[in-house]
Amino acid sequence: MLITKSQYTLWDIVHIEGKIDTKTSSFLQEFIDNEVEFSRPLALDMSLVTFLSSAGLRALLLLSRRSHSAGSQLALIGTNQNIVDTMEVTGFLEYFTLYSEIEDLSH
Amino acid sequence: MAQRIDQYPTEVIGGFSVRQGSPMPFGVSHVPNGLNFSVYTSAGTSCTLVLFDSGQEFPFVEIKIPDYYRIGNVYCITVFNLDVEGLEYGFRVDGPFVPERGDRFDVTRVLLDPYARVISGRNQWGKLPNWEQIYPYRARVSLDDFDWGTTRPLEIPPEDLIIYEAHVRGLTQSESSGVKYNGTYAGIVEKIPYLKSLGINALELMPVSEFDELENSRINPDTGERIYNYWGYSTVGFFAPKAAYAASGNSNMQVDEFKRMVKCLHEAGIEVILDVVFNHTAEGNEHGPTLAFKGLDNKVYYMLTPEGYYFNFSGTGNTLNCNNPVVRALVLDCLRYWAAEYKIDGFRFDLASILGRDPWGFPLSNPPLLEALAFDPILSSCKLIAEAWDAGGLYQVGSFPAFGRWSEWNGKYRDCIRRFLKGDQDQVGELAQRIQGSPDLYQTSGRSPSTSINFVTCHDGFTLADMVAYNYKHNDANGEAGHDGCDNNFSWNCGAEGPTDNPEILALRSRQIMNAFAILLTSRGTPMILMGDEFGRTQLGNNNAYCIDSPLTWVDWDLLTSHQHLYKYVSALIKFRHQHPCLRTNSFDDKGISVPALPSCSFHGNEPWNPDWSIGSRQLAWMFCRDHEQSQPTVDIVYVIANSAHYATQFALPRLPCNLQWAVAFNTGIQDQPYNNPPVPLASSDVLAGERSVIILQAVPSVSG
Repeated sequence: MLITKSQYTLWDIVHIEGKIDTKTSSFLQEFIDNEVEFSRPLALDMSLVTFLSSAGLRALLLLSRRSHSAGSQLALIGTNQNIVDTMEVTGFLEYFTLYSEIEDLSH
Repeated sequence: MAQRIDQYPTEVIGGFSVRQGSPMPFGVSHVPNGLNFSVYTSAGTSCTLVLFDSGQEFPFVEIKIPDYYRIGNVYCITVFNLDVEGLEYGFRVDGPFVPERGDRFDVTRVLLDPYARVISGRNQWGKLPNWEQIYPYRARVSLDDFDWGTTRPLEIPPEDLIIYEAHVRGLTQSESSGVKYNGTYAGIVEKIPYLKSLGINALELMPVSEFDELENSRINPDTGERIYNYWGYSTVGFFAPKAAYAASGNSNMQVDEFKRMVKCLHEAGIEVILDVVFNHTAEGNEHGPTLAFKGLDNKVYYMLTPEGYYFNFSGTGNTLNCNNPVVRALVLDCLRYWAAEYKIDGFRFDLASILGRDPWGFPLSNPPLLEALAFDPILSSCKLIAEAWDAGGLYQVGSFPAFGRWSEWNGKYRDCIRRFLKGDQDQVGELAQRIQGSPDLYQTSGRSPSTSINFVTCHDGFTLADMVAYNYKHNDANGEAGHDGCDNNFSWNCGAEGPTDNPEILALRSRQIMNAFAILLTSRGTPMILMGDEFGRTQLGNNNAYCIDSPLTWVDWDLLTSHQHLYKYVSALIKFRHQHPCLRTNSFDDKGISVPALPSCSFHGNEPWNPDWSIGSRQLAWMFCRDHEQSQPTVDIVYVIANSAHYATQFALPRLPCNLQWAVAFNTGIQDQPYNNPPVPLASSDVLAGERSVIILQAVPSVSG
């Protein structure tokens, strides 16, 4: 898994490439702990995520809860349809705001 | 959080850090930094924990559990630093293979944990597995951290329930269902708006615990089609939802998908009842596979003859030894788990009479398992519904040991309504019992009308459309030369066997279907409807389609369009039942109403207060009354005329006080308009009941009064 960070207007963007599962979600966790302050809205660029496991979904949900309790926002960008389907049938989808492009984020 | 001593291992076995585990709870559980495994075997001589990486043919480690980790008959071990998500685990148990003494240990097999909450290996329906695998069904670890928000079980009073019996795959597998996730738990969620519009408030799902749809699978030589175990009454794992019923099964997320389904149904006001099969397992008899119980403790889990063969009270090869204390605890743990972790509202027990047999097969007068379930604190608000018979000849409708808690599928209700509808003689007396909740069966033992689950059709037997289109079963597709299935269906084809173009026969069939629904939904007790009957689903006369996975058994949703009139009629009847508390009175001692003075339940003929109880009578009217404080008028009075004779009869109606008058809500004799909304007041004091028809009237405020 490859993780990088950029900015778009007010948003912190974390770009993720590869699979998010038990093994990699701890890297994601660590990266966010070190690089992200929840004072700004956070978007995860999911367009290069190929697989999101059950543990990966839980890592994202925990992130969303953290961001929510800090009074901030969390958005997912460009999530592929298979992942969106899994999120839908398992009930995770209702906790996230999804956008197709980074440019769709509010200014 | 403060550190604990037991977060650290005490030794290394097979390269893995371990320590003595805890025997409770059974199965796998999360402990800090590790997983605790616990399994029971009374006659095994050693136990090895076998760990696989997801989907790998061979294990990455086998950890022989040291004998000094054993407590009593329980082997338990904590293993640290495992990848919980990718892990599959099983057990090898060594011990004697002496079938005549009941022991069938086989150390070459890896055994499934009887408490497995997630099972993978067969995540895709019907996909042929590698039959040679040492470990076909694989236990995984469940996280059980679903966010239920503020939803909880609904606790709808049993008399207010209208149950809809459905098969997870059958409900939405057809393309005509229009759902995105065909044949799955998620597909059911997509059908919630439909279920709400129909008006039912409980969904009873045929078995959802992991089963093998390929058990006894073969190709039918006549049709070339594969025969399945489609219904699923043959459990592999009692605690695990069937993976192949989950759209997310390939990601092993069936637990989350199932819970989301329950949450969505609860949000829509619909309870979830599970059909559970604790009478036998998928391991069959001595020729069947060794998956779990056989290899763990054969003589504890199964009822065996003195020679070590399997008793077969279930008709399927083996019989679970439910009143052995160990097995009893497993059943109780399992139901508690479904009730607590999945927030299930009720359970229907397949062939429940088996649960009341002792280990030698004799019926117990005070079966400890049934008593334990009835008084369990976690299950205290769950509905407990018995199929009160078994395949060994024990028939307990009316006498099932209920402990004040159990209700029953009322097979006598089904048979009586069917016989009355087809015009059999000598049915009117019994009909009078059935429509008031079968007091002949339940009153003297202090039970209530909602003890009786009333139904005319269920998964087992004809659909309602077939009940009025076939005199005989047509089970050739099942590949058993027509020997399977019930011969006593009390069905009548209305003049031609099977499909016909004759408009008179078709009109009569349509009316008979409406008559059945009219009686079912105006009977006291808890009504149950079979999926698709509300728009005429057919199985072409197959009355035992347990093995057919095809459009024959899938709901054809195009019928909803072509039979829209029937659907609208049924949903109007369901709403009528919800609106009329007198139909749902849940006491045999109800006093009725004082102004006007009318009993809770009374019977009538073509003259009021004068029913014809003779053998040749095929007509009965009944009146239900109850105070109804929240509405105008303040009394609720419903009058039902059921005429199963082949001629029309004028029925004079009981007199009402001048502030009330009769209004017709339903009349199946009027083909174009079988229901009126709002009900149409009657100008006269009598009404013509057409041949083979049902009229439902209610008291409404009189126009002049």
